Amino acid sequence: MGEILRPRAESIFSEELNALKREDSKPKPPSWLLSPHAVVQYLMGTTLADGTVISPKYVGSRRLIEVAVATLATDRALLLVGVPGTAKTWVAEHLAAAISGHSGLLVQGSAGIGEEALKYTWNYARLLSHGPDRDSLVPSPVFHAMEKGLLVRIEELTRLPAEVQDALITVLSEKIMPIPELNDTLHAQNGFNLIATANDRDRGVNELSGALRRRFNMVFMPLPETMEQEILIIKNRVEQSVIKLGMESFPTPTEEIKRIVTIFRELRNGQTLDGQQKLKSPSSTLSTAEAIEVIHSGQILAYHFGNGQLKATDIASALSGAIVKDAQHDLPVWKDYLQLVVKEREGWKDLYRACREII
Amino acid sequence: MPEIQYLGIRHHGPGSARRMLRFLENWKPDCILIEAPSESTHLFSSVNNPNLVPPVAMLLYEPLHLKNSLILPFAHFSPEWIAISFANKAGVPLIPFDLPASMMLPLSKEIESVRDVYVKDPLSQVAQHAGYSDSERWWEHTFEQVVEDEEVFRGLSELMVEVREQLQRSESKETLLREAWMRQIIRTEVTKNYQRIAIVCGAWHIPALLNWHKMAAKQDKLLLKDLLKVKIAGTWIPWSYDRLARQSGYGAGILAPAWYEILFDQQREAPTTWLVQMAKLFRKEGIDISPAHLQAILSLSVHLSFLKDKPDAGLDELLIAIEAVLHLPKEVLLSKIQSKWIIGEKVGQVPVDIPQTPLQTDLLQQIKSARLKNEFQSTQSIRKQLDLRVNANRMASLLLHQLNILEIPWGIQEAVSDQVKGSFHENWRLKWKPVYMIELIDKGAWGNTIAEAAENKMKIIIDNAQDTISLVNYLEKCILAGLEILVDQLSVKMRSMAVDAPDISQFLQSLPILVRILRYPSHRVVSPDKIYQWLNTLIPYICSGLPSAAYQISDEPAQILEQQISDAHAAIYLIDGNEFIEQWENALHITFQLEGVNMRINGLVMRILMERDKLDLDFILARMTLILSKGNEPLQVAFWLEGFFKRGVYLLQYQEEMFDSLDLWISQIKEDHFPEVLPLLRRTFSLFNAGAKQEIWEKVTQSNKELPKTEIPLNLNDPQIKEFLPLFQKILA
Repeated sequence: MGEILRPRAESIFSEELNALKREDSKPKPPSWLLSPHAVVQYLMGTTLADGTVISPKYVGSRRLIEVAVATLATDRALLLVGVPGTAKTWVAEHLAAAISGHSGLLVQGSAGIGEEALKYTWNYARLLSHGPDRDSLVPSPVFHAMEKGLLVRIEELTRLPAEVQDALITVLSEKIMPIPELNDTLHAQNGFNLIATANDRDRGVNELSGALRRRFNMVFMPLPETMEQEILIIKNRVEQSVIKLGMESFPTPTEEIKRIVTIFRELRNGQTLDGQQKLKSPSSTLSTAEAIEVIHSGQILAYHFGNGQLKATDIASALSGAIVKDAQHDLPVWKDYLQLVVKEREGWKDLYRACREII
Repeated sequence: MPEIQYLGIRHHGPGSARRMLRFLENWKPDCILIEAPSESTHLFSSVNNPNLVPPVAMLLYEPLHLKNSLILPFAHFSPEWIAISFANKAGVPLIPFDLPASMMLPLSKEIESVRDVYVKDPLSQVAQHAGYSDSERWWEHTFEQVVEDEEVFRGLSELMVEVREQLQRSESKETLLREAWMRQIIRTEVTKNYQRIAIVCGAWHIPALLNWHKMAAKQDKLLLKDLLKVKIAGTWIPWSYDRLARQSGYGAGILAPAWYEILFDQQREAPTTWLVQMAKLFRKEGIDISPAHLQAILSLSVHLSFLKDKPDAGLDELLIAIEAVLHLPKEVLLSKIQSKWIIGEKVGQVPVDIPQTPLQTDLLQQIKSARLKNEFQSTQSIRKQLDLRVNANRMASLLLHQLNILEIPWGIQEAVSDQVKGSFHENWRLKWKPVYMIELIDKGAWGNTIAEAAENKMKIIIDNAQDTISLVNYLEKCILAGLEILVDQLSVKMRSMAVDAPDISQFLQSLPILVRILRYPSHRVVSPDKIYQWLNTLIPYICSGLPSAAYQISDEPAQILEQQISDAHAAIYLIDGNEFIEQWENALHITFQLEGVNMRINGLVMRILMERDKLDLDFILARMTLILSKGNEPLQVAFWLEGFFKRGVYLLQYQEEMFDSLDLWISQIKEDHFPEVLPLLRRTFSLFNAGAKQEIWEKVTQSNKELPKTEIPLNLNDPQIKEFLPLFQKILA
């Protein structure tokens, strides 16, 4: 009997969601499972009156989550924008789970998909035998969400070709989807709304048209503001994945996390944390998600091939890989950093040696 | 025993103002105590004068030490303002019951004039508990936005009692004295047969007043016994929203006067009114914003305020919503609307007939000591020569320069006449206009003395300076006006500007001014070292940037650069103990050698280097031949000649080799080339003055050199020539 690799948010956190529902006394928008207030609590974490601990899903600005939740209660859609690895998808999924109880309605944006991925397509066998009717129509996730009054997510909205994006305009402004083949129109039910994410590093791919842009409220997802926040995020995620892999005995490598966060933040900001040394920044984003992956892959190396203790040699290659995305530009930057900062910093000799060995 | 109502307010809080007014109207007190120093009484009557337009400030000061003062600003939505106005209209006795300024000022001689109510922000802890980032917002959400609840006053008193007990903060000596005084006044007033006394004061003080009857009057009396007293005068001065905002350092300032004004005037309609006005501004700036956008912003801000359990959207929610709906980063948004729609640009007015302001008093004193009384009383325009070695004259000069900074152009400086050459003199044309006095009153918020006001104004001007050249000009103004205290601020700003956006052209222009400043008589520039620091910063930038500034530019900018280089060059040699000359000459040399530098600049630089003996004559002559040779674009050659000879005509007058060389070159120009070169030469020579031209002409005519013989074989037997011979004969005959 297999186990689902990654269950949906609403099933992992079903207990938290149920507890919030029980305690929730504030008014709910039509078709919402929770009040906006409780949704913010679900995302930011709290302890309820009955003692249930709600774990924080997002570490960062509360205001940002408030804007996201409040937007979904209005008739405008929500656009989460940020560099890769700033928890856009993560936040979108949890919002859908908390508001609609259903985070599975998802369209992954890519250059290869057409309008039907946002509207509907046909079951041709049935179409041929029965002719065009509602039963022959195969709904897209957007169609489904409109019909049932749920939230639907579109990942990487700007990767959709511009003409496909435009299919959303009617859906968002009129809240209808015409079905000319059946001479029919689908009217969205209360509770329908849309959360899109977009990566602002490749904004140029298919920039949103002005018309579509006007239908979205935009929330900019920043990289973690403080060092402490970033360490906390990474620790949480690392601990969760360790449990999933059955490596509970593995101690959380707090020192190593601190070191990686320091390196990432210094390179991102183009100066050392103490502000004494100016640095060049690599072209890579160096997001928190990548820091998590560096630690994670290092842990697997240490667990299976080492003595279980995370060492500099275990992370060196993933770390270099995360930083050097474009050999011509990033490699000199990384080498400079190793020479100027890592080599000189007390207690970092091991990391310097491990990294120099592989580049 | 009269009934007493404590009306706790927040200074400038529009919500408490409205609630307080409603309460006063219904409750009809027959006496109002208000938190203001007791000397304010005679100023209260002006509040209902239509010519006193808020924002204005009550100014209580020591006539003998104008700098020591206490400032109490009011906007038209300030609760105190409204309470005063109510009392005036209803004819209710109004008693200022705060510690007299005459005692307060000696207490806080060092610190400037601020009531300490919110300075240390005792409420911030309470606000943090309630989940707010600062106490202003918390107050606004908790008290200001609850529109219809007069019970709030009682709740507020109770809360403050609680807060002050919990915090156990040790209050400043000043606060304790003030509260003791307030209790003493209450004790006096309750004996006067009033029925209902309303007490209007900052909410923070209420806990200390509530129990006045339980606290020993003796102790308060003892506390206040030996306080020093000074003489106090008071008046109104114009204030501004900008200064009202917390940014200007006033303790009980508020973050968003413009928003509060709308909140006070429009109440629940405030968000809509505010948004519509802001949208107009956005459209003017070319940002499209439709009514649908406004609706989306309103709707999002309302939902956000629901999330915080607030009945109405506040400024916070509106700003967040604008950011999300218009997709504008916060910094961009704030830079666009902060000064106009958050802080606001309103400036108050005071009537002309109010008591004299300290600035006016100071001006009259200064005029007396600078012996400018005649000029001040005259209606004519008067010329005045100042000898800066004379004390009174020096004071006059400083005063006139300071007034100019305050935009009161009583004196206009003129060039010094030839007879009294030297840097000890200044010529001024003075004409006093009565309107200047009104303008001076308007400047009251800048300071209590002319010098102080000029300094404060200059500080702001410097803060807003955009380029180096204005900074250098301000530096000169500061030094002329005796505001050398600001030189450090200028230096810091200049250095950061030099690093962020070095602009060679501006730096070049700055040099002559800086050198001029250095050469002022020593009593002007107290610390020439600081001016040297400027040169130390700017000259390396100039030297490293000069070659590229002259590289591949067209003639128009080159003409400007030519002038700037010449002026800077002249200036650099005037600096004492010059360590910059070598750097400068190096830079010129590099510029000279760089291929692709504009020809005009090349000519100029080449001549300068020759004059400085850095290039020898043979080299120059060889180079000149090369440049003047036929292959070169004629226009470019003309530019070069102009650059070289424009300020170097003497070379042709006295430098024989150069004259000969040019002479030779001209005489050797081939016939077909000559018509092309002639206009270019004419153009260059036309720049010389008549004397020089005359001298060169004489040299040319005296020159013994023979023109090279034209060797055209002449065959008189040629039939074509033969035909003309009779005609020639006729002409010559």
